[in-house]
Amino acid sequence: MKILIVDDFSTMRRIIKNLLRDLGFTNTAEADDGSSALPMLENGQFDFLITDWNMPGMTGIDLLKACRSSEKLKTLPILMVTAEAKRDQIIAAAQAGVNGYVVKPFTAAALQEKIEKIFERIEANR
Amino acid sequence: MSDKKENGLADAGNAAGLAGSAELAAAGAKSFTDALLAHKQAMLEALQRDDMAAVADHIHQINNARDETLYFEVGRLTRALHNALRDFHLEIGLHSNAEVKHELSEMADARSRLNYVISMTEDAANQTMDRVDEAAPMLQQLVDESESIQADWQVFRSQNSATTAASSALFERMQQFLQRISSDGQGIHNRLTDILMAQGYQDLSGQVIKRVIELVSDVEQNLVRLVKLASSVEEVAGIKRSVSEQKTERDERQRIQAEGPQINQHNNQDVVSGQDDVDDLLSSLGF
Repeated sequence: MKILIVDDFSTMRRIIKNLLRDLGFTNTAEADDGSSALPMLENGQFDFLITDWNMPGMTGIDLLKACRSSEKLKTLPILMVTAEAKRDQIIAAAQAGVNGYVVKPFTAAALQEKIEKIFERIEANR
Repeated sequence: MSDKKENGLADAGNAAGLAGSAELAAAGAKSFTDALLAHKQAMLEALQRDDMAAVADHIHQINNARDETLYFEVGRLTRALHNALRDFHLEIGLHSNAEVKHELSEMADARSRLNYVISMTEDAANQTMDRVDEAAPMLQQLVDESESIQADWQVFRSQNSATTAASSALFERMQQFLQRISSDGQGIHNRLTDILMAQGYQDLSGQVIKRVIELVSDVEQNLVRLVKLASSVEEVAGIKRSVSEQKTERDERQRIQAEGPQINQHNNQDVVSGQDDVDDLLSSLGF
């Protein structure tokens, strides 16, 4: 299981990376915005994407849309972990095809629950 | 120190200048009203005389008085803005000359100071997480070793019955201590995770500070733009239209534009109040 963590704040990338390690996911990579993440996703074999929304350069919502319009990445599970908390934004992310949405600040349990849920659903659809 | 004093004086002068502007503006409006009143009687008389040339002349003079007042006000506003902008630049240390540079370094660029706050909190958060990363494996080794000893201890106890009451009590204490290392180990691990999660403040506060940095830049740019606008009356009239056009175009994009953490989410219906709300909203969308 290879996971890409995208956030412009290195602190948040480190927090998510540590939480994932606690959950047993040690194969992670990092990017600081959508435009550096997209080529990594296109060229690498990632199984899961965790992305922030508010980033300079390419935002998380644009990265999400770019993934969904890519032949290779259209089914990639994507979890948004963001401080963006407006209803319109959450609906826009859902319509763009996000698999889960966690608002910051979040708890370790909340992140774990969302990740497990996403994988359960993927297993069920197989 | 003397530079600081001068700055203080400049500020006081500036404030006095602004107060003076308001008075001048009032005076300008009054002189136009006076001109209007001065022409009123003469114009009425000319009307009664059917002297249309004289009436037209009065209207022309009133128009001139109004235009003069307007142009005068715009010119004065322009100068005031130029001065305000110059002082603004001076205050945030943009155009400081060599003599005042040292004093002004104390109040260096607002943006760089805010960026400094971001990097300081980032360093602090990283140092905290470094300690957590060091402590977690130490704790894990303690717990692992304790559990290994516990297994051997059970076997040892079953093979060696205590000979005295004292040694029996010691056996029991040892057993409980080993168990406690396992259970407290989990409790400490959970707290380390909480410490890790708490460092998320750096991201959230950093996002808010970044928006303030943007705001400072915007205010500065708009001040420059305002000065340019004020220097030409025709431009003022022309730009007004395009500003409102831009606004409607922006409104659509702004609805879902990234904003960073919500500071006043309890007063805003558009904003969810927490993860439960997000989950409710998503499940209503079929998630």
